[in-house]
Amino acid sequence: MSLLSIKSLSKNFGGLQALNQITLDVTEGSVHGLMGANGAGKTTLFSIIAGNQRATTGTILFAGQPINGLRPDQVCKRGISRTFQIVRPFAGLTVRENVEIAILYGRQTPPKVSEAAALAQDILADIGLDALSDQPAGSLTLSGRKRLEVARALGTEPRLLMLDEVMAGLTPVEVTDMIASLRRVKDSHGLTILIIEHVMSALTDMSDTITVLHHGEKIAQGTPKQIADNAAVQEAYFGIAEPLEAPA
Amino acid sequence: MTIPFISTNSSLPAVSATVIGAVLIVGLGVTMGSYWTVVALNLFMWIALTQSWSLFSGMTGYISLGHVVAYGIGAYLVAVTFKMIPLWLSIPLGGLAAGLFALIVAIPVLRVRGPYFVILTFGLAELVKYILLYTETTFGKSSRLLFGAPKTEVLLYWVAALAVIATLITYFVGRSRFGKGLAAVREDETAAETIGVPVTRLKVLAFAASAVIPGMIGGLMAMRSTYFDVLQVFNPTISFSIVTMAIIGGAGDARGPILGALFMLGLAELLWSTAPQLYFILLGLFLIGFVLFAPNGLIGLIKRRKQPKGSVS
Amino acid sequence: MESLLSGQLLFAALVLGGLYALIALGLNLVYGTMRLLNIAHGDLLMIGGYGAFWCFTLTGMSPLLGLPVIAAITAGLGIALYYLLFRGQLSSGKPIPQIEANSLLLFFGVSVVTQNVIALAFSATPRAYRYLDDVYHFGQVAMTGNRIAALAIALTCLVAIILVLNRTMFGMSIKALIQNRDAARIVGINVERVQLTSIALGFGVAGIAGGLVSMAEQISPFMGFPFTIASFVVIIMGGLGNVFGGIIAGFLLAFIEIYAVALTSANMRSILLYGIFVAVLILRPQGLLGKARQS
Ligand SMILES: Nc1ncnc2c1ncn2[C@@H]1O[C@H](COP(=O)(O)OP(=O)(O)OP(=O)(O)O)[C@@H](O)[C@H]1O
Ligand SMILES: [Mg+2]
Repeated sequence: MSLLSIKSLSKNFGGLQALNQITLDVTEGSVHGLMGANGAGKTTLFSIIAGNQRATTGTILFAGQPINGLRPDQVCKRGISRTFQIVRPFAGLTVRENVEIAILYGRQTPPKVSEAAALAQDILADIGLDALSDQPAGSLTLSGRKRLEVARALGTEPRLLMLDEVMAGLTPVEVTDMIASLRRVKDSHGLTILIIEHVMSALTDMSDTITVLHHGEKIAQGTPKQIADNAAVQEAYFGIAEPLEAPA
Repeated sequence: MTIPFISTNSSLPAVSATVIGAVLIVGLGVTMGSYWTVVALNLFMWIALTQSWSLFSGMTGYISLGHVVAYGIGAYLVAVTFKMIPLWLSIPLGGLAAGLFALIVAIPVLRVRGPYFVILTFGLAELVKYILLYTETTFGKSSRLLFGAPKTEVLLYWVAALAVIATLITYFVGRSRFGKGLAAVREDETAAETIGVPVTRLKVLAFAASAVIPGMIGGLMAMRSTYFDVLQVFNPTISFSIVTMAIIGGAGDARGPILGALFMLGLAELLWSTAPQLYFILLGLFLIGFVLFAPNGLIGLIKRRKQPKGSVS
Repeated sequence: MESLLSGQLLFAALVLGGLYALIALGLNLVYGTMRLLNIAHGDLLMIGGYGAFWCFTLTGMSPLLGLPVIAAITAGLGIALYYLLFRGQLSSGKPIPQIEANSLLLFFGVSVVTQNVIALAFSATPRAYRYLDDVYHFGQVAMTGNRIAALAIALTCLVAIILVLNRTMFGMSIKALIQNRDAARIVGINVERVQLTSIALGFGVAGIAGGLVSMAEQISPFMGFPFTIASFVVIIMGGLGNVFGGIIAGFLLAFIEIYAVALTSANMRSILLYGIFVAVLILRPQGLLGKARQS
């Protein structure tokens, strides 16, 4: 059963066609990978689903309900949460406060203010940030900030978690940690995950299905194995000077 | 004369400290004679105004340089209805009118961000001032006489009560869900709305709420003079003083505005009657100094002294 | 009604437009090159006005001859403020919105200090002097000599600055800095020097404009703010860093102001000015930025 169902979605920025007639279904409980070279339109797709940007045309169904045109906070309440590729921590607040706010505002049935701190601490423990919860978010390293993005998204108790390159710029050890953390929270929270990643091994490792975007078009979809063998993908990737593996 | 705030998670000490402090100052002011009654009145007026300002501007980071508009609207309503409806009714109505005005302009005004918001609020306050001045002069009423206003002591009780209420509101909102949402708005609006914070609604609410008490204060302070003058109650230096006090005291903490008001009032008492220009010159220099060297104000300096390892953004 | 068509209003609008264009040009340069929001800009006019006043009343010298000295004084003030307040801010690596907000507060402090220092030194009483106030008639239109001189000098300054901006290497580097700071640095422009010159030029021009204003209108320590507001309206309408746009907007605002006041009453002048200011900011919330800020 598909939790998210996108039909004929397009987005223009002035003359630039960032997304062209994208149709995509994300099965409930699965990990769905999204790949494509720089500028393929992956982040734009996330922004439109999350309500940060408006689609030019097309419809988006979430759990059977249309969510086009909803504000980001409304989309979030429905159960979709995203991270930002270019991280946006609340730098002046502590790490825990960052997550607390997500807990207090993002959930359908929000807890009491007095309970938020403990809940936030649990999530931070899941994601390996609990030792830093009293630090200002602005003082975190890149790896910490990426984790905070994930923790904050988890705070809203999403059904669909959309991760935008949360492993970019991490060391191989950190990538392994992150994958383990994500697996854990996926199982414990019963999540569906839509994940953008340039780290190819991580993507094939985690995903049940992978969709490939190229210049705003969907050019392939299948299991990691099928994608690896797909001629169109080979062409799109190796036709340009874009490495499959992000530099470590 | 400092107010012994104790910062703990329990709210009881903070509430009682505020109330006891206020009652002490009111008592002192009244018993020590009319000069000190006026000093206490001014102190509470500035505390009430600056606390209200920081409820919106301190929490959201949208610096309003036009807060006098709420003060002026409240004063105007009370002056216009003077002797027609009783003060216990007209003063809250003045606050309501100011809040309503803020609510109406909130949506277009709050779309404007950063420094443009600052100059916009200033311009908006001036616009309202000149519109009211125009209507008053057109109807031949540029100043209204207000005979039979309450005594200064009575005004002091009201203003002190409002200062206490404003302080407690700032204190409790800072710890509430609402306050945390506003902090998220201040830090990053896009990130805030993406994790479910209804950004526009919170901003509009805080904006309107922060105008109510200044409206009531304006109504009360209008009673201090025997006549009503538009230019006086919409004087932009009131907005300027509020912002300066908030920056000197430090925003984002209910103690900041109190420190700022005490600081500024001390300066005013020393200089206002003898050298008003010198007073403004020093105020301007202090504003510059704090922006450059202590952006978190006196409260930031105190906090830094307490925990030297605390990181300041 | 026939007065609306007369040359009298047209002349008044041209004089005011020339001044607005000149004043806003200074603000544009300072904002464009450094992102500093100079809310004390009108106070520079006030300083220029007092300079001309004292020049005339003390020495009896033509205030026009005093203009270079006045420009040097306000330019010097700009340079001093640059080193005292803004150089550190600009090189601190703070994000632009924070630099803008801080500069606004700092200039606000500067404005309050300036106004009150002048009030302390020369009292708050408005002052005026009579210079070149003979009336000349051109057809139906009566013009005073000082307004003709103000228009002529304002236009001369405008033309000179445009020539400098468009024809000299230095003007080019100012324009490059307005377009893109980082790129300007990369192509080897001495950013520091360009900034210093821009602030000196912007402040100096404002001083000259103040001297011109004082010949025709009375001056007071608190006369500056309407001019600050007017110049903000102008640069928002004209677009950031768009020198031509600013000049056209300066004349446009002056025409709107003069003709609308003529149609209604002088009491409407402030309502009109602030009304346009508020409307412009609300309708173009990206405001002075001109080009979209990356979101
Ligand atoms: N707000 C915007 N305005 C104009 N163009 C935009 C905007 N956002 C994205 N684009 C353009 O749309 C295209 C798709 O961008 P997008 O960020 O979605 O790519 P991406 O697949 O996430 O790339 P990357 O792997 O680099 O993150 C790019 O060409 C980009 O320049
Ligand atoms: Mg991307």
